[in-house]
Amino acid sequence: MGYYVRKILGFIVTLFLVSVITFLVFQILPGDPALVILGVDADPVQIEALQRTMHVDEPVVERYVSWVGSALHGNLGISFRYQKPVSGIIADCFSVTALLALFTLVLTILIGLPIGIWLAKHDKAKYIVPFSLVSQLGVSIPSFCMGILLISIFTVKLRWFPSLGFTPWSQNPLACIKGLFLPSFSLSLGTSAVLIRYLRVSIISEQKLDYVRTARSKGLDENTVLQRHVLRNSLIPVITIFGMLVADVLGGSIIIENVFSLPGIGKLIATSIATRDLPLIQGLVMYLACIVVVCNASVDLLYSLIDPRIRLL
Amino acid sequence: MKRNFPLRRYFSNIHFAIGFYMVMTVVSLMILGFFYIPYDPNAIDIAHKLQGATTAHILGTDQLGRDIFSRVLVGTRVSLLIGILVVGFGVLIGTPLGALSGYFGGKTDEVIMKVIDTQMAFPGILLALMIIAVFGTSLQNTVLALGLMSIPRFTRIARSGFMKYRNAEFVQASRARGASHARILVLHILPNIVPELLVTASLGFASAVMSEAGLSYLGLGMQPPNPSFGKMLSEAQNYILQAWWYVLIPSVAISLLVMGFNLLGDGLQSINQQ
Repeated sequence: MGYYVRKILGFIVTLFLVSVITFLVFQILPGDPALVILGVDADPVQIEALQRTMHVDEPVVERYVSWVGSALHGNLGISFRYQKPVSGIIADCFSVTALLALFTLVLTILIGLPIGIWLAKHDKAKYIVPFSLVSQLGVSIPSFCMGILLISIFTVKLRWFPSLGFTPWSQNPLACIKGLFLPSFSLSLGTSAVLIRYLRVSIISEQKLDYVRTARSKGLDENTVLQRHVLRNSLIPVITIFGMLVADVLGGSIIIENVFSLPGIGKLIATSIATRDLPLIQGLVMYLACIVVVCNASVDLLYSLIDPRIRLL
Repeated sequence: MKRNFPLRRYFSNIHFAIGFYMVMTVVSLMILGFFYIPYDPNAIDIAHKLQGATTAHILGTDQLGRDIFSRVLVGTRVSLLIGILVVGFGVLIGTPLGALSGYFGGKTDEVIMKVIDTQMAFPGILLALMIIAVFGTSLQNTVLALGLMSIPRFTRIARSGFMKYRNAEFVQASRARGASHARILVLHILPNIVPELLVTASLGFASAVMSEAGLSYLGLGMQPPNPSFGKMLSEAQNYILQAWWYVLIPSVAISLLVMGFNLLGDGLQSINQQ
């Protein structure tokens, strides 16, 4: 029980620190924030109105408390540009990013799992150097470079995929999958390279254990040993990197959505920075950071359920 | 290769060797750029826009007729300069934090590590984007934003290194002789973790280059007309139909640098472990 209490407390502290950092960064705006946001030659009436909504005359701590308080009630403020509640705008865009992230994770597993298992099974010196170079390539080519190269090959030259844009799942599922394939593929190259590395190491170290020798000495063939015994245990440590991969995918999607013109969170961040829509940026940053914290915490908890030994540490 | 060649240990590691040559390719392009640039990288010549490789423009021209080769030569400076500044920022702030955390442990460690770990919650370049949203785009702000992002990796490595050595015999010996904490930290322990910090610096360099390219791609890094690879890429994307090479060149340049430094770091790590 103590393990869970500690985990949940740590999780709350992290969320608190995230909110403090997000809040403070926007407090150190040089000069009068209202003036910075509206521009030097803004209408004085507007400036005064904005100053009132931002509560600039109150002390920092009070402003923080009221900001967090309303954020907890789902109120992240009003976007300057759209003149709509920030939470509503984020909710509209989030479905696109969530779908993109889901597709990417599925592709990561589809690419990473078989290759990782194959490499562990054929753990020969001659494969190691070429594999590590190829996986370096997967990690090192930035996903947006990859995205643009994929567009130029598959969309422009071969015309296999539709040009930029997004079709909602509810309108046409097939078109939706087709539209999301290239962006999620370019994101999944990097993440699957990471997955393959971890999986290979995990399987190889698991294969050295005594129970595997026992299974082999029972006369089980190599495939059964791998599938029934080794794979189950070696997937456990791999689960921990899934939290990390979610953060990677969300981070990567910030740029990749701009490459493919997908109307998701990433695209929204870029446009809101360009238009200096500070409440929207603040809300978006807070939102994404919370998703990552929640994902990491759930992976941690899931891990302890699958492998109870971890609770003893 | 001669038997007593001093760097043989390094160059016999294939990752280090390949990474080294990749980085050196880019560095030599930068050095070439200091002595010779065929055209003014910002000179507009609309009459010769989007040309393929010719003897006059060996890598062709962009949508405004600017010479791509000249822009690449100057662009390498931006990437390498930002990489160096960001890594420097990370080392100078991250290492002392990690040193305190690992050496003293206890509450100091808990507080520092909690703050450092919180940064993991901001995925990718989100933290950098937030800082740029507040302070605006400029070289200093890009370095500040990416530098803050690079602190945790140095803190973690330094922490584990200092933790490992804090009760080592040579540390206890100097403590018995009355050495101050500062002296032990800097003169006795720090030299032992320099190899690990070098690995981290190399990997940090790669991610700084990648993030800078991402920021400029979004139009939030170096401001035009200064050439930078990310910006070139986003401009090139609009002319993907007419000029595929224009897309390829900045992509290759970014990937060469990122992969070069990643391989260099991987290579150094396995050399250290030998």
